[in-house]
Amino acid sequence: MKKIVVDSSSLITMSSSCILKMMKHLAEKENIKFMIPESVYYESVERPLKIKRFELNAVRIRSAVQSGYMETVKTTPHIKKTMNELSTVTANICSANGKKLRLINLGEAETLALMKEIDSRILLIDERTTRMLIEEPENVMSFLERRHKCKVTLNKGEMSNFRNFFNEIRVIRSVELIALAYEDGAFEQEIPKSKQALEAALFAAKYAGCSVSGSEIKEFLRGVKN
Amino acid sequence: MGSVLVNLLNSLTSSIRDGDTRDLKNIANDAIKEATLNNDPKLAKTAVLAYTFYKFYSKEHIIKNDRWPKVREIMVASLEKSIQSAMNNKDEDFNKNIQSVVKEIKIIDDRLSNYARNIYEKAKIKQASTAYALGMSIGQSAELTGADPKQLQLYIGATKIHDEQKIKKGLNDRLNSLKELLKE
Repeated sequence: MKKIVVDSSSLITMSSSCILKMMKHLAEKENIKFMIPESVYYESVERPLKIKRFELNAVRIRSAVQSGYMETVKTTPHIKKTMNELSTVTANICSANGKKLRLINLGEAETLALMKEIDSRILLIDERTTRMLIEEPENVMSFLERRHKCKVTLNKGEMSNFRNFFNEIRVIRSVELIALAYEDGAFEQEIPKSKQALEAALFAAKYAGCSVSGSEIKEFLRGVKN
Repeated sequence: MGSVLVNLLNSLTSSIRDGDTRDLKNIANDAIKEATLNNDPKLAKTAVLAYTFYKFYSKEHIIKNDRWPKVREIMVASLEKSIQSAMNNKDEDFNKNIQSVVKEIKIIDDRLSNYARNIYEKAKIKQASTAYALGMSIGQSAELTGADPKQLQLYIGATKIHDEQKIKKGLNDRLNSLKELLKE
């Protein structure tokens, strides 16, 4: 069984629509288990259950955990230790005008720490910055320079420490899971299969905050048969 | 850094008194930029307040209300106290004074707004989305500004922020790499 660690950003995307239920079928077909840190569960379920606007999303995630295709992992002292290490490392990677930039928060660091703890190689994350840090740290630097219009320096030692943490990790987003579900039949167990339905699901993920561009989706759809 | 905060707060109080919307928006932009560079929630609060007042001044029914001048002066007085706290590095007092302003904002929002409510909460989201556009993660942007991460993510999804990103690895490449990993 493959374990996919899920960041809170992807949970938000998936629980905002029926995509989460589609993931149940995908998990069965592909022998996947979605893993979430305990704190993410609290933030995505326990707290929103008390907020009417987000209650339905929270109920959907709780139901996914109850069904067993999603599992919460306790924040052990070891995860906490790794999380704090990662938090320090990521806060030392980039500096602008001599000031260290804190790019990610503890919650995001905990998701990354969980990857190490359970030895997972697939991270599901819809949030842009953490993904860029893992995949293309040099581009984070040029991105920050463009945005802040100042010199940003990369601490190569800390970058290498961070890379050592995530050498083998592959990053995916909700849109890749939707595309996979479309290919392997999990999609049609929730929505009748059509190119239009796929397009709608991909754009629903985008509008729920998944970091994917409209042109990227259109490019992908060009290769999908009707 | 303290002087940056004090300068921004001084500009903020003057702009509120003058009702200068352009300045208020610029102060919000400058403050959130400094907040992300310094990871400073006090600067982020300044940005949120500046944007809130910018929104207030764009609503005639609020600023033409008889109660507005008096409430505005109460808020400016609290802001002036917060400047003193910032100058003396008294964080607790600073937060207390800012909280007094927020309390008044919520009262105005509740009593004087017609349909558009929660101006302060929306200002948090707006400033958090700017922090995200500047390169912070969603979690970090939400934490810095006090915005709700879910609302922030949904707001970002409705903007063009992700359309402006350079694509290094597209949907097809990621899908293929996922399929390979699942086969292993």
